[in-house]
Amino acid sequence: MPSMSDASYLLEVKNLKKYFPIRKGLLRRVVGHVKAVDDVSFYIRQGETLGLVGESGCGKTTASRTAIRLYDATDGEVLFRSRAGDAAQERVHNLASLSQAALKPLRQQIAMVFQDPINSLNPRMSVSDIIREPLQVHGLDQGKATDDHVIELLEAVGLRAEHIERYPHEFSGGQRQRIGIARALSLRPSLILLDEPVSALDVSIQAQTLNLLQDLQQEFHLTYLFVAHDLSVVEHISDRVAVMYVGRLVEVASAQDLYQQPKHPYTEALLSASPKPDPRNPTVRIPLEGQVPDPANPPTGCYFHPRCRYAEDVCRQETPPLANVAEDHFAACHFADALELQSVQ
Amino acid sequence: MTVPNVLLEVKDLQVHFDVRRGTVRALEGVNFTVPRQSTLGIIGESGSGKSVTARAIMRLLAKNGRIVNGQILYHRPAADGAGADVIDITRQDADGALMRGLRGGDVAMIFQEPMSSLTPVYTAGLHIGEAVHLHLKSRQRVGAQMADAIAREQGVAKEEARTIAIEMLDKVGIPRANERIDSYPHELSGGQRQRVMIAIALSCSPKLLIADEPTTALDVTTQAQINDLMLELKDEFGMAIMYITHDLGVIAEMAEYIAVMYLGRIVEQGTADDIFYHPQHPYTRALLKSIPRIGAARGHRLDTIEGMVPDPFHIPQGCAFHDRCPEAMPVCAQTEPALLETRPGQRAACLLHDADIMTEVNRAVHV
Repeated sequence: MPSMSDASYLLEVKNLKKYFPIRKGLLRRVVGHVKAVDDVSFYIRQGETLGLVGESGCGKTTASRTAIRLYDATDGEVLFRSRAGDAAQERVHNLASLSQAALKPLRQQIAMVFQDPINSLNPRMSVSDIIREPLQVHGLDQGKATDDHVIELLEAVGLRAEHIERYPHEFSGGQRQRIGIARALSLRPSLILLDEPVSALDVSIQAQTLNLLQDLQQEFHLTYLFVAHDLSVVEHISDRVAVMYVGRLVEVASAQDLYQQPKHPYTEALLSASPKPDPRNPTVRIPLEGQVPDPANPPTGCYFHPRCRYAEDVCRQETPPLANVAEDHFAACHFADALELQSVQ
Repeated sequence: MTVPNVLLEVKDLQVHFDVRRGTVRALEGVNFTVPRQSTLGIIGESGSGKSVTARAIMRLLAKNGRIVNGQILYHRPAADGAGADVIDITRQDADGALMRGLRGGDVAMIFQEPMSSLTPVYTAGLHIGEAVHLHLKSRQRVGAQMADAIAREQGVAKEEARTIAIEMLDKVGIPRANERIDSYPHELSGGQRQRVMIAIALSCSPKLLIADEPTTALDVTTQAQINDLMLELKDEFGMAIMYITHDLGVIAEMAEYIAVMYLGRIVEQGTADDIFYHPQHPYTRALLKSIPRIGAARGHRLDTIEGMVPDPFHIPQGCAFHDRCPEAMPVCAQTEPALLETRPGQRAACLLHDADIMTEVNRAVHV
């Protein structure tokens, strides 16, 4: 694994854990923990897009939100390289342990775009108010002068200056998502967490939004953590992809390697389940037996072993670490080197 | 689509909704045919009318919705297997005995959100029991039914319906069905709830299953399981499936025939192979180009469709797609295209395929 001494790394998450207590009984005693994020490590380079995929409940949203300190971590480190500014030097901070006061200036450099473009915008605020709210929070709203900035942002996301005094209900779903993106850009962040940003949009609007995100990444030198469940969208936008299963990363690799040469049986099954828009060449499905395990009571050994068609005794007993299996390719499987897995045909 | 073995024919169906701002013309003359034991996929973006079509067939439109024109002909197989009665669903009382008999008995429907389509206070077994129950009731003459209602309900309906329910849960792949039957919906996972919905829908051996975005709320691996299950059961039960989705990948896997809808009209229909390999309508072509495909060059820009789906009060004159269409001609703003055969078995509603219009256009160019 790399280290933050290399200036091309923007974020490094090390052994991140997020446990939620399960309370029972009259005294609300803690009887166990849901291990939503369990020893997750990954890094993101400056200017790249890391896709984080997995099924619902796998912990991808919790992991990504803990990584930007929307949730406090139970354990682990999140190293973030802050940008050199007028008064500050470029520095590496541990977001997981900073005080809220020390964190606040860093929050300007990290933004978020949500899945639901309707509920993530306050219906009583005008577009202008929505976009300048982050500036107000950080004491950077300069009244009239800021209007120009807001208009610039609106134009950057493909909306027009005359939209500035309108309200969210006057816009379509795709336009609302653009407002959400403009808001995320308002503080000139370096890192944006995009949590399912296109999954609520129509097919034709999804394409426009993905193109917009790519254009903005170029224009503003953005780094994306892109959380989604749609494997074709993730492949399209990501430089590297991380696959999560029951709170753990099972595989991390470049998008091309992950889709063409998967090294973890769960990745293989996930890829084979992804519907392919080609009636002449349907994917050969690898059936997954049973259900995703309960993260409060996961199986022993490799969490995937009860559903894995390659599982052997060692998988039931020992938890495989996320190991380097090829250049820039990591997989948590005892047999990652031995297995010949089906890729996307 | 020229098909001899017809199960359902929808002819020139028009559905309007009265809302405060006026009338929404949700369906503007929809035509298609579902052959027996086939899968027809209906694809479209939001507002295209695909769900309205399904609900009109079930006669489950919201109170402010009206079928203003057209026919929905259900070819109900006769009991002896020879021939069929043709029932025009648009002419039936939505709450009458015949429609109640058709719903669940002949035509069943499953919806997108398994949690809200199962009533949370009933156990899974009771739900299936209900569907079977309803079906049994409506299959009997009203007089006879009244006479043995009590006896039947205590004998057949309760015990036997429960047995059928357990069998069905087992069939849709719910483990330990005889225990699971007493669980409440919240105790089941999303995939299991959708399996229960399928079990309910199939408990009366329908001839047509309408599935409206049945896997949209599910994960990809669960989606794959549910879709594979539906195709298996389709063969086992000999039913047809009308599969509604916005997902081009899912429809490629599920459908033999596809109808593409845009703003309340079918703009193109044909076999799945026709639609994916020989799309004739610019909208279909644009849709196919706009989706990211696994294995395609990464980082390239996606082709997009200009603008957005207009709201129902500002539907353009002429061809409803003309102001977003990369191939639009001036005439497209005035003339509404008819659905014409463009290749054998494939039809598209686009003036580019209208020989008369194109002769005019070409003549005008030369003059």
